Amino acid sequence: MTAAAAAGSGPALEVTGLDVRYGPVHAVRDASLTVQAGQVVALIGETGSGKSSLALAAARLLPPAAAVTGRVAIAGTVVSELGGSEFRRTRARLVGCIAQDAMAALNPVVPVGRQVGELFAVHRGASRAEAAQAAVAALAAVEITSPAAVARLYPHQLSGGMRQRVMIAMAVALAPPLIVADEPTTALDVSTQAEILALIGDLRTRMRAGFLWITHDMGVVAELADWAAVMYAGRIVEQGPVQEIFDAPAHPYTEGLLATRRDLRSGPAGTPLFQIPGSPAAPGEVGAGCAFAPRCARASPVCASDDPALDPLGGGPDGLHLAACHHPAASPGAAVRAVPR
Amino acid sequence: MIGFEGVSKIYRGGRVALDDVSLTLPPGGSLGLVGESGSGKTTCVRLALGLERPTSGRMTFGGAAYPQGRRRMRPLRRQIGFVLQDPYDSLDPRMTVRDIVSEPLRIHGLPGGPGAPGGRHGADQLVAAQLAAVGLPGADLRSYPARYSGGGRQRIAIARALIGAPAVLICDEPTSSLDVSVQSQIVNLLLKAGHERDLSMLFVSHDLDLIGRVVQTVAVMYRGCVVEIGPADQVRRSPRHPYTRALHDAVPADHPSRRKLAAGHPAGPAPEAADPAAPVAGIAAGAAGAGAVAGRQGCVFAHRCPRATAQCREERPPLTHEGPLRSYACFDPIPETDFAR
Repeated sequence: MTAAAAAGSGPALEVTGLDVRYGPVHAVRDASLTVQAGQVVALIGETGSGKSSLALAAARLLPPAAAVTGRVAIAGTVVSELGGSEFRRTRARLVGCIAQDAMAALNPVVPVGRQVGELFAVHRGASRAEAAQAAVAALAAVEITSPAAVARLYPHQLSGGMRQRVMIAMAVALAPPLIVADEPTTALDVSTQAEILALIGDLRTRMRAGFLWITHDMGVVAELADWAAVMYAGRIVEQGPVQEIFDAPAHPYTEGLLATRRDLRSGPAGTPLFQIPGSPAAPGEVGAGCAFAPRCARASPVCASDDPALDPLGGGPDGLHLAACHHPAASPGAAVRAVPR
Repeated sequence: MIGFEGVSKIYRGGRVALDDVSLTLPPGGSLGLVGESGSGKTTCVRLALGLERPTSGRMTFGGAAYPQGRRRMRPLRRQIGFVLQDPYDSLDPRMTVRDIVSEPLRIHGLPGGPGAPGGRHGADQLVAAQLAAVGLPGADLRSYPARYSGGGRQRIAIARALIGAPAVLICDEPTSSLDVSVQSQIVNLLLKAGHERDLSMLFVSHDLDLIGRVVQTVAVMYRGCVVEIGPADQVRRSPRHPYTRALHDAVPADHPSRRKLAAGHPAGPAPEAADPAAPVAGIAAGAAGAGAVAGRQGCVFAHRCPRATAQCREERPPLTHEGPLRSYACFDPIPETDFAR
């Protein structure tokens, strides 16, 4: 099965009405999201926003203690309806994962070439020699110079950037239609991050997979994403084409995130930084109204009592820009000017 | 306040962490160190805190040489408050907030510490006042760090740093493990404290935008050397050293219409591509670690520099002064007019 063939049968990922609960904590609330083949969708959020729970639920990697409801389809296969063992057999062909901490994700006592090769042995029935050969090719495909030499090394012998490349090689090795990436560049130096972003830019055009890319960095979103979804306290509070999100953010939280970055980049030296007041709400602490209301400059009584629905904003070129806000920004940047320093 | 005079630090095994570094943190001023991992930033912090001694060169505090020996360092250590990167690591989880924040009082036998007039009650008042000053009014002194979010913990760390009324505040990546919306709050708190108390601030970060925004003078470090130093705005907006320029170019775009990384390769060859030995961390002399003394002739950036000539590889460029405040170590600096962001 190639990525192109699989992608032909539907979007890379289609999440509908997803809920994730850990006991009393409602980590993801009614999330719907689509990743098209060849697209990078950025899932933006802070600690506790539910972004990792959503992504892990999409890959069905959550522990049994998590109660997941809703529909998840990967390239047309409705994985939320598959039995556990049935899904485990197909997972590697459907979804590849790139973790933040490659050191923890890779096996420290097995040379990286064998770890990559194992995928081909298990899922493609490759012989030992074939697997070793395929592993070297997979490492070369992520632009590792002298891949044959690197294949013989252990994870601790590689730099952080190289380990991340090995992770990416494993994620794309079987050409799955969906790749889930959990902040894979957060721990890297800027120049190494730049290389990894360039590599992903390359891969997306080469392999037509859909990427679900978790991040809190609006710069990475600007560089990589076609579509952006912003999560706050378990909900997707805004989503749309990335250009729209940057040009006309509607939710005050999105506006705040963008303003924070803009101010850091171009504010006058020595003056206080733009800041969003308050601290991020944890999903467990959310009341009846909008979870962002306590931090919001535009909040009104209705915001405290009713959680706004995620509605189309209209106005956008394709009506695809959605925001969950009683008072979405009328014009780009309106709320940013209103939020006090 | 703190001076590095031709300071080198060579660790056992010959790893060069600092190579002839001269820096001055003026009284009441602020100095930022920016660079990637392996640049020597953290070694500078350890030397400034008196945790290590230079292999050669001299460290001064208030014009006098750092004293030798732990006991004789104490009066000097009292003058220095510090805030470290990870508040989950730097606060002892078994200590109460009271004990954490009052620790400097106890260690240095300061007023408010036990045994001093006022006794424990006096200390509690000081601790409570200090917590209120960092935005944690009414915090339970008997609570443990686990009760607090990352931002809350960093506030506790700042309260601890300031309670002994130090003259110098050293911040080593104080916000890099925090959520975006909390980062600016913590930076603003540090800026406010520095301003109100007329502190000398040494601020270390890998984030050129952040550093350029919050300090007066920025020193850019690469593999143990200061390659460029000058007023923050000038270094940020018009870098003269090719490495500073490469750092700029590696920072992700601020808008999807200005993509530069994922669209192609970043300007200037990256270390892993240019240095054939670099994939193996610790063995090679990539950005991951400083090189051996014997191999350190020439400019430390020459192997990555698109402008490098034979001279750069053989001769170490001296710091060239440009006006009273600005200098760079480059034979062929980027012309001032050549840079547009």
